[in-house]
Amino acid sequence: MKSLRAVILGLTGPVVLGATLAAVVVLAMPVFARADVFAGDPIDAGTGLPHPMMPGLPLVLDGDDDRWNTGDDTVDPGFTGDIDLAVRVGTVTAVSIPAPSGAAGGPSITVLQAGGGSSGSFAEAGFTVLVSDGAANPPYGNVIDDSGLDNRGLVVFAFGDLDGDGIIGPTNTDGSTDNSVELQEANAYLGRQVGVLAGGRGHGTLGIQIAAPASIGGLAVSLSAGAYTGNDSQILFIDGTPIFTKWPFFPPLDPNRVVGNGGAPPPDPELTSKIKFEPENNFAPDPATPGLLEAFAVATDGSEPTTDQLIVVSGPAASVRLFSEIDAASFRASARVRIRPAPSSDGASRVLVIPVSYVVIPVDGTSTTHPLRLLPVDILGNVADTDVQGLSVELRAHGAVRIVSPNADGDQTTETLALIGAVGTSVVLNDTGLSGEGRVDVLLNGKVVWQTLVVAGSALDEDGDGVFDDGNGSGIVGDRPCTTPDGGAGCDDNCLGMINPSQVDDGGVGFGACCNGDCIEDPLAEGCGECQLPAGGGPGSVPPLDRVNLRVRMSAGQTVDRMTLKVDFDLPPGVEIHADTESVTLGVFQNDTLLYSGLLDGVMQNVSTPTKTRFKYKDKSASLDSISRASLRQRKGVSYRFRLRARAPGLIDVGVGAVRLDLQFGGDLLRSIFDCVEKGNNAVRCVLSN
Amino acid sequence: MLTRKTHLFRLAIVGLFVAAVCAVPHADAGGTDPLLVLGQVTANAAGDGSTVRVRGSWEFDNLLQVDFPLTVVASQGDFFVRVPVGGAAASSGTFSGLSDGFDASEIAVLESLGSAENGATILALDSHEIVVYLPASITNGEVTVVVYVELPNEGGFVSNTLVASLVGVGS
Repeated sequence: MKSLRAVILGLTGPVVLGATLAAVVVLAMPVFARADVFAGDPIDAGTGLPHPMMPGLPLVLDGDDDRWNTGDDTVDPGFTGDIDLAVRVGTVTAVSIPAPSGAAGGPSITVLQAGGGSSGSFAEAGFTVLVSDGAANPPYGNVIDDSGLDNRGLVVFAFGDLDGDGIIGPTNTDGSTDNSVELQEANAYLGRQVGVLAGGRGHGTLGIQIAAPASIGGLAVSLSAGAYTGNDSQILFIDGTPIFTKWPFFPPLDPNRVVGNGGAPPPDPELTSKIKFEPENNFAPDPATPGLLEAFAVATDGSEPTTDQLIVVSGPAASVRLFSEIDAASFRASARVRIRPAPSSDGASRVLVIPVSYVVIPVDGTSTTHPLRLLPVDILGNVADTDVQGLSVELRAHGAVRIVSPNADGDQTTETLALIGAVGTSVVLNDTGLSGEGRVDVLLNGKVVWQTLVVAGSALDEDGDGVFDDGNGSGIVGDRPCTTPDGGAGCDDNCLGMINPSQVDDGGVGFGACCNGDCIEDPLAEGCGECQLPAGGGPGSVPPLDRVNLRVRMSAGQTVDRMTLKVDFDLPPGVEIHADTESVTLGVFQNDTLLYSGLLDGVMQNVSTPTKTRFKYKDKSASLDSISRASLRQRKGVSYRFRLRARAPGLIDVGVGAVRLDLQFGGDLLRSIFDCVEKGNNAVRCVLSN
Repeated sequence: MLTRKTHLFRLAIVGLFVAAVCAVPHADAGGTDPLLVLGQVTANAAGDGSTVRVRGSWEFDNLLQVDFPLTVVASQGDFFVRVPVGGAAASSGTFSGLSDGFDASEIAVLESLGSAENGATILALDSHEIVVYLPASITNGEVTVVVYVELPNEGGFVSNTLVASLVGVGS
């Protein structure tokens, strides 16, 4: 086969070869287990084994390098794969292979709840994988039910029709703008299981993670299967050609990349298995090749003879999350981004959403708001229907974020609402006019069940690896994870909290290799060049001030401006205060403008007792940034109180609204954002009590 | 420990469905087999307690398919809160073995200690993120987080350990 490829190749890109291979088909079938499975299939001249093919699809070859997508893939429509393998939902014992679910003469489509294994939701789909003789009569062929392929390993994968178009994988029949979302259906499988063949069949059960609420019809899920056929079940890869049902792509096939040269016993479905799934290494049909996209697309209506389908519905609503609706035009498919079907906000149609745990919002007042969806979810995070009573949910905004809508109580920091049904409600977030950090807590029955971290301001690179957390500027961190080729350009850091400037992600799963425990090697030095933990930083890394009481009285008549500040805080772990030798800095901001800055640079006096740490500063002339008094004292354990008084004409002019206070001891910053209200006599009082 | 049988099949299945091609070379340099790797842990005050958000990789496909009792442990000194995924009861207590690290040989001891902790629960479970609610017994300060799994016929596996700073609880 190598020599054959050498002749054919020299061409670049996916190439349609016509019937080129027809002249080199080896008509004499080599001896290997159950050769009748491969009757009529083209033979690899190099190995003497049949080429792997999928039913109804042309012959696809991966070139001399045995890898897809390296510019030498070829497509030969002169051959069309026949049926070698089928999978059916449930247990099949008959010799003739039954019609798939939903087909004429077939069973009705099974409805199943998401879950499986140790997830806490124990529903699993039963399946049977069947080795087929490919006969046309009966309509779906017969099972080759002898022992010739006993103990050969098999896999079953589940794929979901996320956009509800009845197809798994990209198709241009509904236009091409949503092809990336449709590719996600092939890239992000919903579950997989291994097993072995016995008597031409393999039985098992499969857990499925992603689902849709029953109120929108659930999620159509298609099952695809593959199995080996070699002579020796202990060395599956050396002498066995895999056989397949239809899949929405062609998986890699190179046996030489198997560690240990492929010697392996049959799999045990009761034990853990490691199936490395890297979408970039699959053969995905080129939309530019006429008909190929549709050829690979897997229908979920019962018209595919080798696959089967079921409907997977979400479990009971157990929690609540904030989601964002995806933009199909800018979406990038990857295995990691787990998008879910949900009803549209008016309930009239179906949309796709991703959970939002970290958002970035610009500080621009009301010009940019951030619309999200608050939706009930099951234990696996699938959007779920509630019961008729619904869920009583409370939202609480902390720090640099406010809840613009809903706002029934006139308080943009809290909102109590009822969620009834899977439609949930829309939530609009906005900035406070201040850059900084914040979060939105979602409480169910008084307990926080979800938190969305908020960074107000410019895009953040929390781990300092040069790749922004929200690199595509969508406001949602993680909705477009970087892949190796494009590094940090227009995409989100694929491994938050680890230094990985290369963004290597093992084949396009959308999750950095560093986050999988890998080491990105530096060719110029020993050890790992990447994957180190940053020294600090990240959302939530700036400790909050626990209680703040800030009073500011602006000048009126003969009075001068006065400011009093009382702050309680807990000293972060590992932090020590030496206010007599290090700087103490206070900053008051509003609308991202610095209103006041005070600096006591090593001037506080250490008046500590043997049991309590204390520092103080006093200057009747208020010569340092108008500060007349300051004190810092240890209250109990790590609990401290800082007080400051300042007075001077034109000292500070704080208005009603959000204010940010930065208090820094040496290099240790504490921060909180809170609200100020009028207190009469040109006074403003700002209070924070977390 | 892994049996030869299990290990070899892992290798085989990798061959069926892939391999990596990367411009930048990388190698498996850490973690466990099965993979349990923590990449980032953050802790935030939440109501009367706190939430700990754990990002990493933990064989979610296996968790969804076989008996894979993944457990999150948050600790401060000797005090721990142990929260299994999948709905099993959480527990809390003290275990002196935590102060010098935690390894697979200590799983059985840890699981034998403590009492039921109704205030702790898994809030979110996904392929690369677990969010845990912890009661107020986890207080302000450093919170050490580790995950482990005890697999039938395969033994115990423990992830790397990460530390998060927690402030603002109870205020």
